[in-house]
Amino acid sequence: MAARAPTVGIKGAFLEAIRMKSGIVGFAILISLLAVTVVIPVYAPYDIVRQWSNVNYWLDNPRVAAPEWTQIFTGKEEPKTTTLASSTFRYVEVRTTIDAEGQVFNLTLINASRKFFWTFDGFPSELSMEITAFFPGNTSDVPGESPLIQIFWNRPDGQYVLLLQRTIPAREFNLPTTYHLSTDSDVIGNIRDWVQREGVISPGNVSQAYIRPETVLFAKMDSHQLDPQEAANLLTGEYQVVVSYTGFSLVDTVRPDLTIYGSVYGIAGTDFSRRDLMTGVLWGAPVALAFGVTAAVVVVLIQAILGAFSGWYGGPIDEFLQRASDFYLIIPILPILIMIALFYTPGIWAILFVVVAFSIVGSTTKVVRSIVLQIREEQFIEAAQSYGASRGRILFRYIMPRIMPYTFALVALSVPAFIFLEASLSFLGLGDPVLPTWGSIIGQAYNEGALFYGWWWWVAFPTIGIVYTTVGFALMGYAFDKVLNPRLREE
Amino acid sequence: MAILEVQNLRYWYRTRRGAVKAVDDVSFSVDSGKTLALVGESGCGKTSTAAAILRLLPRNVDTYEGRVLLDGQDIMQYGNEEFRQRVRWRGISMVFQGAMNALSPTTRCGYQVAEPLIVHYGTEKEEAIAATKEALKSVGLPEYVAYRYPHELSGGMKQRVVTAMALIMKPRMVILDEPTSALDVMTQANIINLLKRLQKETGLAYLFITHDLGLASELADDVAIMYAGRIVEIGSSTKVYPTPQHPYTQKLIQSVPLLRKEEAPDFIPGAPPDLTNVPLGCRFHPRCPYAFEPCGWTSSEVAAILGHEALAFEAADVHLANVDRYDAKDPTQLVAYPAKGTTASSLAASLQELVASRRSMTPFLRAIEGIQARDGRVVIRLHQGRMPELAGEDDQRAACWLLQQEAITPAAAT
Amino acid sequence: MQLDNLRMWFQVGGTLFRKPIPVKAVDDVSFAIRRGETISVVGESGSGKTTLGRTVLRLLEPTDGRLLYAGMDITHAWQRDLMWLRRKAGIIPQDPYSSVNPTFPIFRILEEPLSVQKLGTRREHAERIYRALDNVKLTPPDFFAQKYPHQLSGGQRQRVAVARAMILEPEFIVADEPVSMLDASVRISILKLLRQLQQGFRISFLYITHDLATARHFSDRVGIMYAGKLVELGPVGSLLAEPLHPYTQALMEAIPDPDPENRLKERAALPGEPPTLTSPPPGCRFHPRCPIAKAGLCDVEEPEFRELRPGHLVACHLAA
Repeated sequence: MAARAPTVGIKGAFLEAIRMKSGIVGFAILISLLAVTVVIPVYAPYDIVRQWSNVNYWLDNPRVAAPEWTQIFTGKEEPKTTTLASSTFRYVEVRTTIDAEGQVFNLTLINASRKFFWTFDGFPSELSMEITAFFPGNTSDVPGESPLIQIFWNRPDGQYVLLLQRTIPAREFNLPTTYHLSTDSDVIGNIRDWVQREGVISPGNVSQAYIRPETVLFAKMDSHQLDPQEAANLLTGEYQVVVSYTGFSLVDTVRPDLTIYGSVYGIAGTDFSRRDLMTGVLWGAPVALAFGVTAAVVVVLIQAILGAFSGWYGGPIDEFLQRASDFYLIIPILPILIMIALFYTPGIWAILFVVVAFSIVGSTTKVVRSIVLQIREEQFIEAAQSYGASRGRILFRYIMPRIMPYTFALVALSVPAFIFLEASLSFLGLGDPVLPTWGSIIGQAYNEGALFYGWWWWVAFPTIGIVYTTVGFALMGYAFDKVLNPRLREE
Repeated sequence: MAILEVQNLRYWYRTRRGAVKAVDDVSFSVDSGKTLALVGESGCGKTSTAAAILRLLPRNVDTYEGRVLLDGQDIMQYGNEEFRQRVRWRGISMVFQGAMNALSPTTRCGYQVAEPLIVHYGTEKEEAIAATKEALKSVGLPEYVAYRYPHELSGGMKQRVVTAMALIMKPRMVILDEPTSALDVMTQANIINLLKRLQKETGLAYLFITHDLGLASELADDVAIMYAGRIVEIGSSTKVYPTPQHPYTQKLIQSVPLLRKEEAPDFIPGAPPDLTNVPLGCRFHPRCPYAFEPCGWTSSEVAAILGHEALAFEAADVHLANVDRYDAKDPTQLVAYPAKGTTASSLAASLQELVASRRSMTPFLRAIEGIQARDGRVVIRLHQGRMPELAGEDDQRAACWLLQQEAITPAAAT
Repeated sequence: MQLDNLRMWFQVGGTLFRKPIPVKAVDDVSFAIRRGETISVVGESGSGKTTLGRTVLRLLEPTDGRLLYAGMDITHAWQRDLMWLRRKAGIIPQDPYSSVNPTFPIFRILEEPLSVQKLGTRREHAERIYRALDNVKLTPPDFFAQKYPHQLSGGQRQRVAVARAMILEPEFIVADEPVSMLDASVRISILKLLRQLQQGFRISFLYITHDLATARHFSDRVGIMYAGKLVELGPVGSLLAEPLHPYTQALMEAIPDPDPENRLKERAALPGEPPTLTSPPPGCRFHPRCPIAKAGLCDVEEPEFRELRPGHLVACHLAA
């Protein structure tokens, strides 16, 4: 009478595991993660990852912008980032030479203007202007030689505001200068004066108020004009930005670019450094997988081999390894990693190495040892000894194949732990400083007070990443466990 | 007077491969104060019969029907709660196979013996202790055993504890499933003596399940031989042992190595059938040396046998026209498709030659009623075969077609 | 194989503070196994018979005494010097569920001994494997060779275990309860197979069992073991016709043959349990349970193993 086929080998165990609900779900999750890993280089090439810490790369994105699809819930059409390129400006140029009492002045007056419609339902998050002036510069800062820039703001309600008046230092010829209109103190001062002049809000309130240019410039002139975005009333219509340039040579040209930063961006929003979080989170997947799986596989393999040695050879080797694993179980990996990371700045491979080094023996060793102790009593082992098989042969050829399915399950179950370990390190800012890992994203979010400010997407997406991966591996490991441990079956 | 009467009990359970016909139309009765031994090889359904009687069923039951009369009452009609309270452990109790190893290692034996009383029937502690002490005494164990853990006792003592557990409610009948399987010969003898004494003193009835005919004879007044879910012979042990009627019983008795006699034992070739796919007709026929036409066959069996035989034929350097494949879907006939290069008629001819020459050596081939070439295929008609019923005297009945032909006794049919 | 005063004691339970206790599994056992004969060693569990089997194959190193194979002293030889013994002697284990490696197909299971002993090329292996499967009646061999153990029945698995023991063409096989976990009918077929193989290939068998009835039909000589000692040894016919040791007599009394008259009688059985091997009783180890023990003799002095009938030895003060 043939018995019910036991699961033989990894393949057998795997096929059994797939049949269970937990196995199917777990496997599906893992396949999806693998798919992500494969597909990412297409969506966001690796260059982007290397640029992760390069602030300039991300300048075109708004800061802490929510994901675009949140618009569905708010019902409003949130503004996306718009860049009004210099090529779209209308230029009116006047160049003359002035002869005044023996002195010859060259003069170039350029009026660059751009109209645009503001039809969104919300305010922009930031305004910034990048102006490149081409003029023959010289090394000394001589007033009269440095060109003058004036930035005006023309609103649909007819208000015409001078935002900024400034000279361009000679040394900045041919170089783009960025004017952060949202934070520039001159701009803020000018806006304050403007609002005060119009008298809609009492002078006392105006001088006390905190001015946010990106809001005030777009808000109706009413009592709420100086309020935060939620309270102010949006003025829609046709706006115009005017840049007036006065230069002192005949060959000057000016190229202004206005960037109106939206409040939504991408699928996962952006963080404080304007980085597209989707890219970061997606790239976090292969990083987490690579680290977690490599660590798990290497650690479990080493521990399993040592456990097998321990169980099979017994005697002093067993004693030694048992005490060693007791010792290792006590060692707290995270504090040690923190210590090391404080003195050195380890890259991710260095972290991996340390993690493995501190996990050579552990719980897997004990588990495998007990399995081997059980198998050791089986009679075919004795028979093998009787036909002269060496102990090494028996261990590696007969016993190891039996424990392979268990190690598979143990790998699946330990991957989440390692991912978590790496995430914890990164969270504390001690992980790989360059790579976008889930932990580092959450860590930065925490440092910038993301949840306090309500930037939930910054925390949510990497968290989902970690939870999703953890659940995938846990389910897979659970399914394997049920297959290999018959008492857990739900028959 | 019968304390237990089982009539047409059927218990099938579902597996991925189909319904396992563990107990298929089984009927017997046990008299008060007497023992019926249920004997068979492993997998024949004897343990399942006990489970069916005590309604210890798993979740995947396919069929569960029949009548079980305990003291004249049909307990199959009871609801589950009523069954639990009135039948289990009170009317009938059971000593399971390997029970001594199933004792909980972390509970003292006394509590385990008293557990049915306390948990199920809510007996008071004082009463339970008294009953436990009495039970232990009746199985010949000293009182201190109640305070010991199972691992502190020997195998024989553990088995006695389990027996005490079965007797604690003073049931009318005990089902014993291989009660001595893991025990030494001496301990086995002691336990058997204990069982004999208990039966004599208290008028207990036993249903004694075992595969060991020698052991069965120690207690059995009546014996029922089970094979593949059915009873093939049943009768008084004084008749069945010396003069077994059914070929299986004969072979079984022959396979017991005797200590006190010279005769060498003999074995039964083949293996019991897969209970999801039992052969048509008599279930023993594939292994029966006397099998003849009415005993029955399945077409896939015959296909396999033909394939086997063809190989043997080939090995003897006789060339057989090739068969491309067999169609064994119809149980009454087997269709063979000739391979490329052979015609149906030449295939039919060589198959007929094969059957004719191997028929005497392989009784399976007797299933074939006729071989005919038709429409480019070869149709092999099989004898139908019906399942034999138990027939014979009151004190010995066997289910075998051979016996139901007049004037043929098994010995003469060889 | 010759055993002279063989002892196999295990030291158990030693800690830093407590000396270990000896388990005297095999205590002063002597007998010889001749070429081509089957000797059964019959005993209850805890009698030391399994340990005897392992010691005889040098899977354990004896604590005392001598073990000789074909005249060569193998008592304390190192394992790596015993490869030749591993070729000449094999074992058939008891449990069909663990006696063969479940992760290997039958072919590989049977190939392993050949690979370990470095016998022949791969093709020669295949030939030998098919021949071995033929010998144990697992035919057609190519059908069985690619199966896995879980696809076979218990009896078939034991046949594989037999084939594995046979594949190195040994001279001596220890069969440790090879059939006790199988059904009655399958038991007989395996034992018959072993007998056939023995007669065909002139192999000596040491057949360890607790079932005297099977020993009767399949051995030439029978030895009875009790509490680590051999208490009786003799040709099967003589021993069973005239058991001289009281334990053997009791053992025979306790085994039922199928006879409906049995139910009317009480079966004679010894009370009590066999002694633990850590602290056997003084003198004759059987004396606490012996119906004819004589105080002052049997509880003081260990009886000699003496020949009372031709070829029939007993260790009992009072046997005659």
